[in-house]
Amino acid sequence: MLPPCTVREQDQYMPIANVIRIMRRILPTHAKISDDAKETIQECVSEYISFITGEANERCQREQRKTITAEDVLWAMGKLGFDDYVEPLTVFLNRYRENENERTSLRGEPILKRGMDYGSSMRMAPPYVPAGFHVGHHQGIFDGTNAMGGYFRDGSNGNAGGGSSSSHASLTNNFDPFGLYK
Amino acid sequence: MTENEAVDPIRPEFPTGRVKKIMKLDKDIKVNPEASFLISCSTNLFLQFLAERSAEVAAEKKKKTVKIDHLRTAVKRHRPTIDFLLDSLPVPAESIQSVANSLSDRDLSRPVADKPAPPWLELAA
Repeated sequence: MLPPCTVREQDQYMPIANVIRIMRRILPTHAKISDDAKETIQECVSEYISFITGEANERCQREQRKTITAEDVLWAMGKLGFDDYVEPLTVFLNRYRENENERTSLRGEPILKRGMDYGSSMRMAPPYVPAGFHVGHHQGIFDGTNAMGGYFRDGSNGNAGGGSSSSHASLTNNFDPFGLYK
Repeated sequence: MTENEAVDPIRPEFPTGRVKKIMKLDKDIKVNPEASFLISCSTNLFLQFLAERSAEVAAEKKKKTVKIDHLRTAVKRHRPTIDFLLDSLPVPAESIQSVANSLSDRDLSRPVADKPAPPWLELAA
């Protein structure tokens, strides 16, 4: 049961702690954020989610499908002017898919992670975006060395390891049971 | 079980359940895990963008504290963001204040020397 509502219904926002933590990585060390700015940004985050979801959902319905897919989301990004995001998101998606394949085929059991909130217990969580990850909005620049420890522009595989473009991209750089791919 | 968590690249920034909850706020939608994962990632990118741009504005104004006004200016500088966000931002305190100033104990038939009256304030001809 939800606790009685005080001032804001927190369920419709991302936890403010997460929001602040992510902002602090970006802001200069000495910078502060006013309390009302923190709350406003928290609201902006939810607005953004609704905005993209709405567009993705409309596309889904137009094509008479019931479930929003990754492709719907990517399409919505492009349509709504966030095409800068499409490239990194595609990389993240490939990595996510590799991890899913790896997890189900090689490990065969759910990975336990500390302190993670799963929608369902088998779910992989969104990626860690390292500190200093900057998106060159509308500068058209995507420095491949920034994101996720490096990724390839052609997006052919999401392997952020040393540089292997082996087709066995499902092996991450820290899990190499065969020792063949170095 | 390998002790790989320190180098495991997949770690959540936003709680998955909350992402889904917010997505479903307006309507009862169905979303697959990949899609909510991407929404979570892109929201992270967007938040970083807002933070970065707002901090830039604060720095331009030589302020150490990022305020809503800085956020508003940052939003106004990015067309796609204006489209869905500008109207949601709280009304600026500053503009309310300057309206209050214009209306206060001043002879309204005389134009203000240092500050023009707002265009909608029709002075008696």
